[in-house]
Amino acid sequence: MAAITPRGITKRLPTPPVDADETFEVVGKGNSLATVTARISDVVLRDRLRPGWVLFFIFSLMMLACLGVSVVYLAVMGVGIWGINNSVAWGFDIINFVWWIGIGHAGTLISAVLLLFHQSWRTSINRFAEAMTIFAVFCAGLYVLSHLGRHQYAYWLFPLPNSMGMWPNFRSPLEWDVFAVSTYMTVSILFWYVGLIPDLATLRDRAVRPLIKRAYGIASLGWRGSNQHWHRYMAVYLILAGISTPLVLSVHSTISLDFAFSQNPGWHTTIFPPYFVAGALVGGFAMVLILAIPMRQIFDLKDMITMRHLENCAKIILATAIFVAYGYGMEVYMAYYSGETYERFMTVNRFFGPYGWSYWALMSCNVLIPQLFWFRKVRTSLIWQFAISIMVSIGMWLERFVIIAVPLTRTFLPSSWHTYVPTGWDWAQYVGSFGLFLTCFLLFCRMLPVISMAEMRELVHHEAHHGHGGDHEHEHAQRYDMANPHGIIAND
Amino acid sequence: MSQLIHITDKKGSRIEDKPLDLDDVRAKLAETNGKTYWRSLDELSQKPGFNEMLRREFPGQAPKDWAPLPRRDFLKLMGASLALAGLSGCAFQPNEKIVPYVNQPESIVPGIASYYATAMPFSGYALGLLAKSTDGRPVKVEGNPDHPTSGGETPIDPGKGKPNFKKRGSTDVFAQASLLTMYDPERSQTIRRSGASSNWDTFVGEITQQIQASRRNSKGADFAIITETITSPTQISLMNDLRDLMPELRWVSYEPVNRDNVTAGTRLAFGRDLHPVYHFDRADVIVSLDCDFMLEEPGRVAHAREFIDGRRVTDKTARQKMNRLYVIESTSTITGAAADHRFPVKAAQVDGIARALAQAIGVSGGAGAQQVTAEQNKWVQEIANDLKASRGRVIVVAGANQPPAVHALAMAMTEGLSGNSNNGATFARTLPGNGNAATITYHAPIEGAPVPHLAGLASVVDEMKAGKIKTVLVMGTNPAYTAPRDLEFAKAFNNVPFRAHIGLYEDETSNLCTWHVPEAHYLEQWSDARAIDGTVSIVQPIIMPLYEACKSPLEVLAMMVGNVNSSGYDIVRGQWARTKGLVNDGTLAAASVQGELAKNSTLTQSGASGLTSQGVNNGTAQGLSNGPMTGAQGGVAANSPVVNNAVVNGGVATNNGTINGGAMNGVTPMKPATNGATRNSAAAIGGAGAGASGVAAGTPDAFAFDRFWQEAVHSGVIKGTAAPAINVTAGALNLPAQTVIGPGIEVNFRPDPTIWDGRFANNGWLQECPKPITKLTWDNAILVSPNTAHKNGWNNDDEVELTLNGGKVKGAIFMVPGQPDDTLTLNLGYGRAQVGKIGTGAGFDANQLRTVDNPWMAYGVKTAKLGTVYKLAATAHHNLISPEGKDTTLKDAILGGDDAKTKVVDDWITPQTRGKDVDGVHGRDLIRSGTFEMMQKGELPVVPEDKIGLPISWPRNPNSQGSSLPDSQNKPARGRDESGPIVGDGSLADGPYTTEEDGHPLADNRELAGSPSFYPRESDYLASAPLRSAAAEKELEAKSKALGRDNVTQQWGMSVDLQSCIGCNACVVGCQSENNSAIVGKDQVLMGREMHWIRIDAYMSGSYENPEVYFEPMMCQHCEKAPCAPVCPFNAVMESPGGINEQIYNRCVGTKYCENNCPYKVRRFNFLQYSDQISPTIQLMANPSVTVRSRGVMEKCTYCIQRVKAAEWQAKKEDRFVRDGDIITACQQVCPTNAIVFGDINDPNSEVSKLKRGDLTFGILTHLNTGPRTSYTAKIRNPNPALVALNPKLYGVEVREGEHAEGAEHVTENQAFVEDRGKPKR
Repeated sequence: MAAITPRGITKRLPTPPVDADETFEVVGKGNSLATVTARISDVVLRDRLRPGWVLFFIFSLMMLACLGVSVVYLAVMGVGIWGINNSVAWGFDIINFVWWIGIGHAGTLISAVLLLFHQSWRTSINRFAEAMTIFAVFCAGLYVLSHLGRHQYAYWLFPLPNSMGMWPNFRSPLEWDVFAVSTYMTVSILFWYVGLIPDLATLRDRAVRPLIKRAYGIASLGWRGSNQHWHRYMAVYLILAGISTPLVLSVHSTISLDFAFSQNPGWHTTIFPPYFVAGALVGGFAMVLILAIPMRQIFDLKDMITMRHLENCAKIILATAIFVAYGYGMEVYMAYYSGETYERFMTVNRFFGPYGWSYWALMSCNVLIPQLFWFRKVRTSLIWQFAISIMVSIGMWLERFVIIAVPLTRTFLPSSWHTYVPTGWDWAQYVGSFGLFLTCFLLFCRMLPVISMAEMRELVHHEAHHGHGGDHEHEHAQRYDMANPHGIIAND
Repeated sequence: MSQLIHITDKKGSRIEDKPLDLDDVRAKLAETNGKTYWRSLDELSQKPGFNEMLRREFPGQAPKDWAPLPRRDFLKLMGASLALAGLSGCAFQPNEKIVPYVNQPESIVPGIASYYATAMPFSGYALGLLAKSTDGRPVKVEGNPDHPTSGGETPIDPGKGKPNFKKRGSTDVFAQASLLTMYDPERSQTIRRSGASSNWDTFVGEITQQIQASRRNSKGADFAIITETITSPTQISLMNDLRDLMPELRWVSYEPVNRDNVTAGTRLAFGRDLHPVYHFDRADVIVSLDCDFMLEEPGRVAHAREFIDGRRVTDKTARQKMNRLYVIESTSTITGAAADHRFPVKAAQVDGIARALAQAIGVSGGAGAQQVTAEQNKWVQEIANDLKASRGRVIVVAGANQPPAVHALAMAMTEGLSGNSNNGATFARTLPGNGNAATITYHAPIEGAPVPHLAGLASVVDEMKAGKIKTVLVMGTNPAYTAPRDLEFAKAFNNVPFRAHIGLYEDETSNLCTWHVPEAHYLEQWSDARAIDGTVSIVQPIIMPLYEACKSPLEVLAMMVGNVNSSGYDIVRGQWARTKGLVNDGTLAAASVQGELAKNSTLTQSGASGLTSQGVNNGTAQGLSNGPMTGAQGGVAANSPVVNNAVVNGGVATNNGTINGGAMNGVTPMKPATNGATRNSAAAIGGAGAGASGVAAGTPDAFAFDRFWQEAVHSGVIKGTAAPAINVTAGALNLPAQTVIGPGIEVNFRPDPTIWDGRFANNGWLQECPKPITKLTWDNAILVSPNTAHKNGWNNDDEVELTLNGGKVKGAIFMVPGQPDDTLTLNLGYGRAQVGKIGTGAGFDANQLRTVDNPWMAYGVKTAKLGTVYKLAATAHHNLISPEGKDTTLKDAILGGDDAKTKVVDDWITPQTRGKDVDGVHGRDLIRSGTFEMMQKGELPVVPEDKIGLPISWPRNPNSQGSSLPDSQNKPARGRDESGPIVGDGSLADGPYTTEEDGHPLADNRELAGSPSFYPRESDYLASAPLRSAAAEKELEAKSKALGRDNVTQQWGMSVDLQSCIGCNACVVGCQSENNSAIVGKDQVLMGREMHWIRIDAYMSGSYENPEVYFEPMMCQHCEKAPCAPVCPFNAVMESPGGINEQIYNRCVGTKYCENNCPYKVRRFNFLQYSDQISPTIQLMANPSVTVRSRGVMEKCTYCIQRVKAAEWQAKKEDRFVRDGDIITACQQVCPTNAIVFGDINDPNSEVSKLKRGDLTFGILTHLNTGPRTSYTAKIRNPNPALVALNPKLYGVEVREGEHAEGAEHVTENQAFVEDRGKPKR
């Protein structure tokens, strides 16, 4: 591979034949160091546009246009175009904010927590899961900014020195959100980018067109693959993983305080932080599956993102769904145990009130349906996985609806009870945020390696030489790889 | 002249624009004599169109009214008018003298408001006002404290703890909103002739011609004038002058909501037309026979004040007596809500009940009451007993919609019970002396044309149909919309060749007219008007008419009698000079004499025809200059008092038979009088008043009249003009047959509680003001009881078509608890075809179902459900309306509508409210109420406890000032040591809780009394003055101590008395006016985004058929630990050192978190750009002390911080504390019943402190530890124990009280609930 010449290889290189069928291995048989690099980088560098990708891209651009229209209209008219009102002052804006930010958590969990726990199977899914995190945070951020009445002053949320002597109110959970989300976004991007550096270097080396080569060259920050580089890289990567790990817990906990801090029945409860985090993981892993299943089909990556990965995701969904179910149960119990008319009313209103349907739909989607994953057949079926993931995503959205909007419709004074009906603009922006997310994600698929090549080579090496070894051996292999990077021939 | 400027003539064709011809110029120059100056060659040549160009302000872009306006020109003009509107907004002071400016111009400080007394005539009757003028523009109206209606004395109860309410003017919802009408950009602005713009001179020419012709041909018999109710002495006098010219003139007043039945009632009872005035403060027992006297009667403000004064209870020791109100009514009204016993019956049934009641009392005419059920008879007997027991202090009052017989009975009953002697059979009695002590006094009619409105209109319409009327002038009223359908007014009207309309709006009537003259608003015109008791107020303009073309009715009438260009000021002043006999003021006398002369001269001289506008001017000028004119011909004689017997009592007297239809048509009201009475009783009153007034009439004192005028204009009332009471003798009642209750559904017509008869249809404040009981905005609806709706398969918002007497309307159903079954109530005033953007199209036109025979109630309606839905916008959702007693099932939870689902939840969580809580508090401790009986026994409405022994709400103890914490200082801990903070049985009457002790603790959790908080009040932190020097601090402390204050700092708080709140909405609109709150429109109300800073929550409990209604004004509670404050990331919510929760608009970026976290939901967000920042007139209206909020900003009640600050600054300047009463919030000020009190809670002697430290104080949601600065006092009712015992089931809530009376342990509703719930689980 070292001898790739710029000339004459505009065509796709013949890929070594691999067995790309479904497998329960972490990586499909027949993959070598060369094949993983070639197959992953070819998606970016030499692949023609695949019809599946094009189809999705057109679709997501349309949704993005929807976002453009709705955001411009929002800026012109104000948040009155939404269905919120003086009783239910938060609607789709905050529901979708929480939903999107929750989705991000799976990415961080996979890339950071599983790394720290040496779960080698995470290798082939961490890159795109991290990308998913970042794009989801974009969408969430969009909602944070757009939900303000006067968008032009959103920057007042940051403690910037100014002539007015104005300082944000650090007691406000919304201010905590600002720091939580911006920290989360910064760390996620850094973590992702640092992880990308060796792969960017690989792309640089394999790129043919000078401009592209140069672009990847700049992005790879002069990576040469020296021992020292690897040494520092691994250290930074681990440190970032260490920083990211608490963020998995803190971000959604902080966001849950937006509600727990207030006094509304249905919001004012201490169970929210862990309950929100668990919910975020359910939703996040569901989104990982929703993205991974089409992606591995479209880009023929079935032997890298294998059934084993998918099954593991399904198991996590099952586990976190049970956490969440516990949360639901405790919420009801606490309402009962508090003896508060208002709390009890709110809880029963969730069951049987005007929005009762949403509660039961939520219970079905988040508690009942994931129980199907107890069955191995369901757990290992692509169709079931995909369907259940969709249901769980809907369920998680409904959870936020039930938590945020429904209690506001029935607060303390019956005179102020009102309904909440989202308008077309609410939906337009929600659909539009999907457009933003998918467009970013699809561009990411075409411009960056969706699977970490460096880590895959390591994995292939490890699988080839050690099989399914114990932890000790595994660690040894890892260190060995670092010291002896023959998996990265391309870097010469 | 620029070649680009095209000048068109009035027909739109271009005036020839020839190039300049030098020959022409030379020719012109040659023609001139002497020195000639010219500005341009164009001028010199006098080209066609040149003068036209000069005349116009923007020659090239002048509005070509008569030619289609190109779009571009339109846009340019819009731009120009917007830019210039600001400039022209500066000079609106009237030319004439209005008092403060003339005398003390140096006191005018820009930005400092001045107040001018004026009066708002509404349906003729005046409400005295003080208009606040800032830089020459009125920005707010307040009640005039000296005026008998809006001011009035509040008797001071010497009882302990009773706050001493200071005298201050109050107003009603209409007066508050009238300001917006004045600034309404859609008000009529130009004189129009056949739709095209015209001018005053042309109008004068044409109408003068008509008068001439009419005089010549028929002595005025073919000339008709339709006015509103008129009480203005000047206007009546002008009408009389006009009658002198045209003796046969047809003059009728027509308003769809009129007092025909009242007057007819007095005729039945006393044999003559009388004007009853009610004195509710003199009554202990009041029976209302379908009379909403606190909203629908002209004296509403005074009635409400007097009624509440008779029952205000704020302290258990305060009062030994409380009045009792029985309301028998046909729809849910605020008077019914205030009642101790309310009986919903069909409107037609009221007659029978009145007769039964009369019989029970022993008044003749009551015998033979039919169609009164045995059930009804029982309570009628009890009411009668109660009435008899309070002999001499009772009022029976009937509604204007009830037939004359009911009025006659009501008056006879009151009269019959007015003495101490009771000899049952004969009630006839003369009132003692001047009738001061009587609960109802009778006066000569105050109205100027005391003809029945409807019959009068009908007769004129008949004449129109017959083609007898050649000219008709409609002044102010709008009969084309308001007349009953079967009159076919429009058709008859079109028969008249000359039709003119003077009104505030171009409306349905002006559409039919050739001429339309815009009327000046009452804040723009000089006039006068009488209050309900006859007292005259001078209506003083605060501003020049916004639109030049506006004329006051007085100016129009003066023109018609010949004073073409006399100003309103001269007319009113001249009138009063004559009335007072003070013609020694040279100019005045001259003016008035000249007027008379001019009248003659114009009219006689121009007798020929074809008077152009020019001609009129010339004629007038000549008349004036050629002076002599031999005025002896009769110009002055017009004033002689007995010339004209126009006002007819005899004619109407034939009308007695009309009860529910009868022969009202037969009346020809304009016949010469048969009884030869003085020509105008009102004038007679004026004369009487003149004699009584302090000004020496007739004394040749050159300044006497000036003094009189000065005083009259300054104080807003003319003293001594109140109508004297007349001794009346009631003969035996000879009543017409009783109203028959027809089969099927009854239809009732009532004025709308906000837009009245449609005159306020274009007033956004009133349109968006939630109607008191229904909380509907922007629409009227078919109001129907839940049972009837259920029976007919109707639901809220279902469209139903009503067909009645050939009329058809389509309206939406709205269920109202308390509406009698099988009745529909339709409010008038909606369905306007033309009025403006705001009012056009909303609701349906109930006038289409009214007929001359049945203007108020009718039977035989056909209903058809159309299957369509019309969304009604109500600001509060009536969640639980469904027939009583129906328990919910699981099916409701799954398939039911939103209401059914909410009820499922309710039935589960608060099962004790099943069947009781119609639309209520859902078992929450939001309202506290009790009965007077309980109070007398020392039992207060107490706070229930929940099962773990914590009170559901704080403060729970009678001493609301006490801290919950054991007090380490030398004060005795009130009751805590003995029994802990909780008293088991909830009884506060005895035990250690007393209010006797004096030394209230210093500022320890004043509002959080009993709250388990270790922290001092937030305001105490804030108030620890780091800015003051130690010495100043000490001095202040000493001062504060000397004053007996709790604390150095002044802490603001508010107390709202639920007992006094009648739900009239005056505060809602008053707040809107004071604080520049925007209206949002129906679609936004439907979305739940109304912007009122104060709302009146209405909760109902009891049965669906007849619930008890509780009004609870809800505004920002100014929590000491405000939940909204910490959640704002921008620090936009702060607490002021005075404890006011401040919203800083500049900082607000609009996260809306504060709104979510506000348990009272009083914050209001500008979701869109709601405030009108474009219309120039609306900008003029804005209160300059209050920011106009823009989109994206949260706002809420500020306790009128601009008023607080003004008082604080003043106090600071004078180095003193702010005195109690210096700060009056806008809601407090307008409140007719003093339900809202604001002040310093650290001053134990302030009104608000006394109330807050009273026994009945409670806070809302205080268990959240919010520490609201606004507290409430409980509602006390005074039910008749005999009635409760009679049928306990009828009185859902009182059942328990009945048990209690029998010795059972007293429990409140909530307590009962807690016990129900708590016991089995414990």
